[in-house]
Amino acid sequence: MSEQYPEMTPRVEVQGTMRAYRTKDCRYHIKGSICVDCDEKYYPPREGLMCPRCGSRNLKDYFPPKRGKVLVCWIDNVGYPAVGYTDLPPRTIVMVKLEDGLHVQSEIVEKEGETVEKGTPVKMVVRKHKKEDTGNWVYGYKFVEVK
Amino acid sequence: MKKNRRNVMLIGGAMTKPIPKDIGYRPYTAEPFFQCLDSLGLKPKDIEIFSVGYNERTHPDAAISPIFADILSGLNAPVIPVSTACAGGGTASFNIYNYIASGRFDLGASVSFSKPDVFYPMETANSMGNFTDVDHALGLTHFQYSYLRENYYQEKHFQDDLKPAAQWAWQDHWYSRRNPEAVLYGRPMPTEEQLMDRGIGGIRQRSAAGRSQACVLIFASEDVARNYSQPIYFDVGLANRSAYMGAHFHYPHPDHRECDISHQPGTKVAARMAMRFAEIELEDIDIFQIHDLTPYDGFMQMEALGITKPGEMGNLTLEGATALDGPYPTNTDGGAIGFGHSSVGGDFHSKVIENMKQLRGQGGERQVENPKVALAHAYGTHQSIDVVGIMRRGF
Repeated sequence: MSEQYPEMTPRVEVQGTMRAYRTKDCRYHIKGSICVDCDEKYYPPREGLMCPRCGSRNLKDYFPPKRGKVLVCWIDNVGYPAVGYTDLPPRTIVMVKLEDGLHVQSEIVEKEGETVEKGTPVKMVVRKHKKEDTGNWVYGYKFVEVK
Repeated sequence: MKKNRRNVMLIGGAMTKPIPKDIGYRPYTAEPFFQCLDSLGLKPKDIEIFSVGYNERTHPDAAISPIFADILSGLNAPVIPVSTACAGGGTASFNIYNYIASGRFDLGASVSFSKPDVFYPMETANSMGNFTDVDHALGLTHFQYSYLRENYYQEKHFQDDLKPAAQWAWQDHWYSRRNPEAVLYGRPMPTEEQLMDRGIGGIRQRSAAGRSQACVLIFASEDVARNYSQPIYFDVGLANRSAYMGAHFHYPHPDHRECDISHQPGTKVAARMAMRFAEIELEDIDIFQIHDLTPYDGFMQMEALGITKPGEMGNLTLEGATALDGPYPTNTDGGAIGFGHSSVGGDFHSKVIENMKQLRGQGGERQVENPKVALAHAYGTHQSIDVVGIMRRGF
């Protein structure tokens, strides 16, 4: 990596690829956690932590269903887009209730800037997000309407 | 938790004016500190302990304690920095409150500052401070968190009716035109048409106005406070929740299983704690200063405090319940919409200072009649950290 940074750079690790690598299972598969003892499901994952419901540390990976319904929607057009998304059309941000009851915040593709009705059925897809500091494109989940 | 603790009193507070100044954050923060000490006849060396609230999201300096030991001349005193976003002032006050209540210190300062001219402004709108690992990777921001929650609450309880939100915002605007400290002081009042506008213009009239701010509160033990004019009893509660917004539909605690994103159980927990410390009930509170980045935030917080059932605060607002002469006078300084939202710089502290003025009868045109107990509330990182302070008129 030092070849990429001929000049001294503080906190080089922040600009490396590990952060994006660590989140790859979340970004590609919505990986969460489930408590083996009480069946409580969590997203984001709680690996290495404890179940806040029953106190167990017996948690394992959990991959929720990739379909759900839109619970609420907001068009991100008030003038403060996220860093890395400033050149894109206004994003349609939604909270999706997955079929197992978990909730994930995401965005709807192919309807950028348009409102999506509550209850609209959607499914997860993997799409391009933004460029990391390394110059690599970050991919991750978004949702599309189910026709 | 109640045993072996002393009463804590607020003896003074000061804040910066909402005027942009060509100075850095250090003299900017020192100004209200020295102003407050001068008004109390104190010297910096008299302060035994400091806690400084700042927002790591907006401030690049990592070693805050030695910097503030230098700024506040507290070279021989401990300086405890805390970064809990907009609730930082409340968390710093929670620190000082507990240090004094424990009996180990008699005089402490809770300091907060936010002067967002030292960072790239778009960063504050980014995901730092949310559930960073996932949110940062997927470009999910503070603004999105906020407006999703507002839309959810509005659709659940009001459908398309903007009147309750417009009324709450109008009230904030009204107070702010009567408060020289407010960022919108001196500006023309918005029209009903502007407040009811469904476009971006209307959203901005009904949303928080940004400002820089630094505040200082000086707390003392009851024995020391007797030497100062009009001290005020102070108690404070603090609660935390998951920082991931989707998790606000799945609270694992059995008391909150029925809650969703439109409920604020953290505020409820913090308020219960503060009221238990203060030995008061909700009915005893005469004034409410609520963190309201939008009117729906205000409704949700008031409902969490137990004033009414979820979804009914809007109607109460339309009936005038939160007005100066109503049963729940609210945000007499103008709230975040009119006074301004400065994040950690004043979102808790400025509310405490407004309550201090009200309890001392110094509210001017905004004065509530004969208040004895007042509440100040702030949250950080979109309801992941909630802090509630209870203030009671002292001797």
